[in-house]
Amino acid sequence: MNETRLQWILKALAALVLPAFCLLPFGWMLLVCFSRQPDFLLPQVDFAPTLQNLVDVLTDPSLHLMAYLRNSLLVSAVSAAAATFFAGLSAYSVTRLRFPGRILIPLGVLAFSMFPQISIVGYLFKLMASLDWINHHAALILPYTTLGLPLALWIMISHFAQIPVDLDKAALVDGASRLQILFRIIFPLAAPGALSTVLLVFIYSFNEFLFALMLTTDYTARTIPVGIAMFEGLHGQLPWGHVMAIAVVAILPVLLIAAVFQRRIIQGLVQGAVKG
Amino acid sequence: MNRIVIKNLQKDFMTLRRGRIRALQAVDLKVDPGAFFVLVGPSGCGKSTLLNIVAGIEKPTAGEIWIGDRQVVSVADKRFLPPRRRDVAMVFQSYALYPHMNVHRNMAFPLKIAGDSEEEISRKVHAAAETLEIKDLLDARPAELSGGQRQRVALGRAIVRNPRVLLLDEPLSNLDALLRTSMRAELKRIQRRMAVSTIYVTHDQTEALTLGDRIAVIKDGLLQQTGSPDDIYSRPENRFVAGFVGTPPMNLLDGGLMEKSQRKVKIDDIEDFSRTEIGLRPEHLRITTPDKGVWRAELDLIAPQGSDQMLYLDLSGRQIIVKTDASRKFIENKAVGIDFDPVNLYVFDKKSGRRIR
Amino acid sequence: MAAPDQPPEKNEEARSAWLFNLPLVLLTAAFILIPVGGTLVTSLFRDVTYLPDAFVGLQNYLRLAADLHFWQSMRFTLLFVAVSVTLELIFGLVFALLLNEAMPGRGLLRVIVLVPWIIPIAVSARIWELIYNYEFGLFNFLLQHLDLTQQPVNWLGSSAGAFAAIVISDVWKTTPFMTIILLAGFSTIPQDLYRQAMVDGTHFLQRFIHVTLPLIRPVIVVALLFRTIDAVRIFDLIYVLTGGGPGGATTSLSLYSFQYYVSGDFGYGSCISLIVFLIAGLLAVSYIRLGKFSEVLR
Repeated sequence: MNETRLQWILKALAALVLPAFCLLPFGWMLLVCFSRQPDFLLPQVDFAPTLQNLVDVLTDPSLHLMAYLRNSLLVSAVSAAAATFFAGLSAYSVTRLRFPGRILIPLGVLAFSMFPQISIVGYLFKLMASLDWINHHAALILPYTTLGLPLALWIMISHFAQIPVDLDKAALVDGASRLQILFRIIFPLAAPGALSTVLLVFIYSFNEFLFALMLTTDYTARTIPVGIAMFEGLHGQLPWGHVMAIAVVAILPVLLIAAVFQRRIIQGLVQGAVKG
Repeated sequence: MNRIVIKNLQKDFMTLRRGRIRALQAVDLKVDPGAFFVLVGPSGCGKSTLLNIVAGIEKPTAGEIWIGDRQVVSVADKRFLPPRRRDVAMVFQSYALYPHMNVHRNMAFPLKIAGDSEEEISRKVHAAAETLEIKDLLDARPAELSGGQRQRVALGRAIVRNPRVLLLDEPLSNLDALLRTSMRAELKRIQRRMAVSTIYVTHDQTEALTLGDRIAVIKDGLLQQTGSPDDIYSRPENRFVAGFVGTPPMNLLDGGLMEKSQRKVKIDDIEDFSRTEIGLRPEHLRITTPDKGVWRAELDLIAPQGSDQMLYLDLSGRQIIVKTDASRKFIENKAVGIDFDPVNLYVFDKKSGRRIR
Repeated sequence: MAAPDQPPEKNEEARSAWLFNLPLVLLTAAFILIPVGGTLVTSLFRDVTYLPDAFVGLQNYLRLAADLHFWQSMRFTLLFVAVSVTLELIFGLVFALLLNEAMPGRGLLRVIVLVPWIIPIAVSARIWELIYNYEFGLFNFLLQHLDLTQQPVNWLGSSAGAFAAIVISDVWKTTPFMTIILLAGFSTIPQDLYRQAMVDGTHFLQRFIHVTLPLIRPVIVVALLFRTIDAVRIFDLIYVLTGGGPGGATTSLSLYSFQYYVSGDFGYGSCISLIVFLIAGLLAVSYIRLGKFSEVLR
């Protein structure tokens, strides 16, 4: 009796405390976004609902919110696709071909993923500046792709490893080249894994801050995280309503993806964990 | 006394897809103290569920269970003793050995939890290891052991506590045939020596007949018959039990075949066989010349089995198996006659499956 | 041709392998290895925008050793890592245990738990900035309403408050990650082991200690490894939430380095960033030693 009571309490706790813990800040964000005055918790101020904050940030030309959104989506999508593709190529070679230094690739990439970004970004800035790539999308896409490679590689390797090598052998006997095998057989079979990878790298790139901060100085290539961090207000003082409105816009894409693909995302994470 | 009494046990499951499933229904069982009781039935019949409920890992929907003079579970009285208070030991089909502990620690685990002293533990573990002949494996880890060795360790962990009740869930299923036969004998020997009330679950009816003092046959959560091995074998109460027990299985045929017999067979006072099914065990059938038998059939296949041989016959499109001594010689694709002693004929009601005779 | 004693197949395999790996190798070299190498070199130079470059050897490092702000940064960073990772492990375990129970809506709960992790740090940092607001922030509102304090807490304006604010926000954001990883670890433990432990006489806590914990140890070690190294690099949260204040009290090493980059002193900034690199490297090596990874490699 004791134990089942305990179990019941645990479940109740989970059902109540977890969502509260996780979603409280967002609830707050929504409230402030849709309220005329951000300080409505003060006894003397009332809560008055309004859409004006959202309208303001979406339409104000000096804010470039749409540009930020566009940049974020573009950069994240391209780097996610590229990272997955390149990682797929490498994963294929690691799981199927014998060559000296085979273990070095996943291990090396793992080690590189632990490098602090700060020790990369300084010199990278100077490089980019000398190439005049600051404020170009390429300045972000290429590093993001590279940063996404470790994650992508480990997930793809674990997926490829589950595809029987006999399939390759059969295809080789049928006369296919390695590349053809990869594209016609392996990739289609590993599609769910590739999808997880794309999603995870997309999220990672979308959320990235330091590189975007250092490698962009105006809105042409700047991403949303930097945009919201830099936001000092549309007309001077810090208008929290506007900040929260931007926040709402900023998280919408990622939340949508999470809602639709949540199982894939969790699977991707799990692969990484259990394999690692 | 460690008699186990199960009264009117019922277990329902709620599933998303198929609604409520009744895994066990109106189960009544008694296990005498020190007896070896076998629960046998096809996969999915609820036998493992029953075992889990006795152990306390699952809760029944209705009914009660007594171990000795303690009521261990009662839905009506809202009583439920968790496993650790029941003094029950269990061996799972997967053995469930703790992979991060060596054999000694695996076997010591329940004793450690119970709070025995170091010397007590050591003594009991060594005694159990002696009984199961695994003394030299005490330092090894489960991953290093063979299937048979793991099985012994699992058993050792169960007997080390000298429990009131021993529950075994298909413990021999994962072993190869040879090992299985030898382990069966050893299992019975150990159980006898310890005189612990035992419930053994299996899907293998040969095992059931060999091991059990008493057997219960279960199908789809419902008890079909309880009795001694001989009861079950010679006096099956319904069609299912008759067909389930015995290797090769009993030949079950439509009663209408009696009409098509070549000579009249007098079976008690049964005149109309049209609503019955008849059963004849392979060893009770005899081969004679085609015109002297009750029926005429064609010999399709001869399958030698050492000192016996199995004959597969075609009787008007139905397959019949006859078991006979290997010394008699037959020729395939020849017509033969089937004969039997009416005393060995089983008759079942076609609709209910119950045995009429 | 190279290696004539090897069967031609092997050679061809090796060659195509290198082709397959070319993009990865090139990208990694260009955007990770070279920059790190460049940083190392830069740290040995006086590299300030308005001054001519000059090789100064270890002078930057000596300057670092005497730099009080640097040591303050170091202390903060290490303290933050210790507190944060410990809390995340504990919370992660608790949440994973809760989510491990079968219950209706478990799928939905798992998604909810993921949300803090999925959101850009910069965005959640601004939300937290508002929550910590002295006058009308959510926390002070709740604390005063629940009679936990009389005065509103100066979260972002005091060094202790700012530290707590950063830890809370970071734990909030990364606990989900830990939870998911630990849940995955839990799922590798066969149910039969729990059942057997039940029959062997254990109760819930004993099962957790004797069965669950030992068997998820490798997963915990890996998760800790990644989290710790991540925590050492912390930048985003601090930049947006406190800017390193008040008075440099919450300046992490990465932020400190960044500040020098921004002011144009790349030499010194590179130097600091290399220290971060070293710390991360040391941590990685000690974890690997601790976790006996030779078994894991396959």
